[in-house]
Amino acid sequence: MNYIKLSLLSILLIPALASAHGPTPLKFDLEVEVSASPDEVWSMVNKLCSVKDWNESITECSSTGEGLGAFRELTLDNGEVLKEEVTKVQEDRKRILTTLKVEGGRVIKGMPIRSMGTFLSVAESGSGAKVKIRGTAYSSFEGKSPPPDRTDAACKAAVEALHTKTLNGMKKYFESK
Amino acid sequence: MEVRFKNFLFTLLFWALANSALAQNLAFITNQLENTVSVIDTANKSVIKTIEVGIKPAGVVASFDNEYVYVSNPGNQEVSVIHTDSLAVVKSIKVGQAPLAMTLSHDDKKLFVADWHMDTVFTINTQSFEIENEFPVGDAPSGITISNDDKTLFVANKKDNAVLFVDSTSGKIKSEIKVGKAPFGITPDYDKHLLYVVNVQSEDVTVIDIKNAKVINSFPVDTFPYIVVIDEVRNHLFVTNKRDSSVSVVDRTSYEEIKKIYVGEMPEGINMHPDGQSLYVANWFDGTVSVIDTNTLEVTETIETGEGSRAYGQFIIER
Repeated sequence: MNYIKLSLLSILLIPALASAHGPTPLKFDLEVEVSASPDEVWSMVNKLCSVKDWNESITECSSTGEGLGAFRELTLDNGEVLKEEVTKVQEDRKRILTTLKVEGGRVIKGMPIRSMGTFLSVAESGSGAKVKIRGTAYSSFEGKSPPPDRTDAACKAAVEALHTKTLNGMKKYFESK
Repeated sequence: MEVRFKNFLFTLLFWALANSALAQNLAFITNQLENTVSVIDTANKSVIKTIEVGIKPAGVVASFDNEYVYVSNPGNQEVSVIHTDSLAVVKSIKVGQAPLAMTLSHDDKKLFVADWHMDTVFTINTQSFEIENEFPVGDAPSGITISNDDKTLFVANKKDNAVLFVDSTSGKIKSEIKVGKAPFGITPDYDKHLLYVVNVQSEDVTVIDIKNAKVINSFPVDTFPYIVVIDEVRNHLFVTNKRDSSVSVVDRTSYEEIKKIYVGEMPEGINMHPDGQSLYVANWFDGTVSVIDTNTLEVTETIETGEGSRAYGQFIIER
C-alpha cells in the first residue's frame, strides 16, 4: 500500500514531459517488402528490441514489458537515447503505435524533434509481408525562423533516415533467415 | 380560384426545384502539406477547385453569410481570405507568428485568430481586414469559439490544460477552467449551454457548463482525439480520434459510446453538412475526406483532396 502510494507520488513528482504539439506535424510514410509471413514478422515486431537486430544505428536496446504500456530505450550510435512507449496495439490490423516524447528543451543530436508517433504495420503481400512505418513527428523548434539544422525538412530527413534503416534491416534479416 | 391556386403551387414547386439546383454547398479543406485548399461540391462529392493559399494552411472558418472563408497559415503567418463566388484569395492578412484556431462573431464583423506561439488572440476587422485588437491568453492557444451573444470567447490553451473565458472586446479574463491534458478542439452546444473540450493527451472530452463556468462531466474517447461536432436531431456527438483513425459516436445525454466509425488515416477536421444528413471528416495522413451518413453511421464516400488535409474549423458553406 505504502509502496503504491510512493510510486504514485513519484509519478506526480516527475517534471511534466514536453507535451507541446506545434501547429504543423511532419509526415513520414515508408514501406518495404520482406520475405516472411506476416505472422512471423508481427511476432518479432512485438518483441520491442528486435529493432536492434535490424537497425545498424541502434547500439543498445532495453525494454520493459510487452504490449500496451511497454517501454523501450534505444541508444543510437551518436550516444543519444530515445525512450518510446507502446501506446496502441491493434492485433487485428497487425499495427503497433510507439510514441516518443522528449523532455522539454532537450534537442536530440541529429534528430531535432520533440515528439513522434510511429505506426508499424504488417500486411500480407504476395508470398511475403509488407511492412509500413508511418506516422508524425514534431520539430523541437518553436517559432517562425528555425536554424537550418532544425527546420521541418531537417527533422523529416532525420526521422526518415532512422526508419529507413529499420526497414532495410528487416528486409535483410528475413532474407538471410 | 382553384386553377389559380394550382398555378401558384406549380410556380412554388418550380421555384423550389430551381433553387435546389442552384444551391451549391461547398466544403473548403485545408491541405497543410501542399499549401492549398480543396473545394468540394458536396452535391456530387467532387473537388471543383484547388486554391493556392499561404504556407501550412491549417485552420478554416466560413462566414455566417457564406460569402467568405478564412484560412490560417501558421507557416507564413497570414490569414488567407477566400471569396466564395470567385473561389480565389482576395486578401492575405499578416497575423502574429503562428495563427491557427479561428472563430467569427455571429455578425461576421470580427474574426478572432489565436496565435500558437505568441499566446495571443488577434481581432481582425473583416471590413478593413486589419488587426484592430489583441490580447494575451494562455500557453499555446489551440482552440477558440465564441458565445451565442458574442460577448465571450472560449479559448483552449494546450500547454495550460485549461480553458479561458475571455471578454471578446476588452480581452479581460473572466474564468480559467482546468480540463484534461492538452486540450485542442472546443465546440459550443448553444442549446444545452455547454462546451465540449477535447483533450488530446488524456484522450477524453471535458463538458463545461457555460453559465457557471464549471466542469460538469467528462467522457473517454480514443487515441489522440481532436474535435467534437454535434448532431442535435439524433442527439449524437462525434469525435475524431487522430491516432485511431476513427470517429467516436457518443450519446449527447448519457455520454456513452454508441459506435466507432473507422475513417481514413489520422482524421482531424470534422463538420456536419448543412442538411444534417452527413458528416465530412478530413483525414490528415491520407489526404482524403470521408463522408459519413448520419443515419446509418457508415462511411459512404471517400474524396481525394490534398496532402495533409486538416480542415480545422468550420469549413462548409451553404449557398
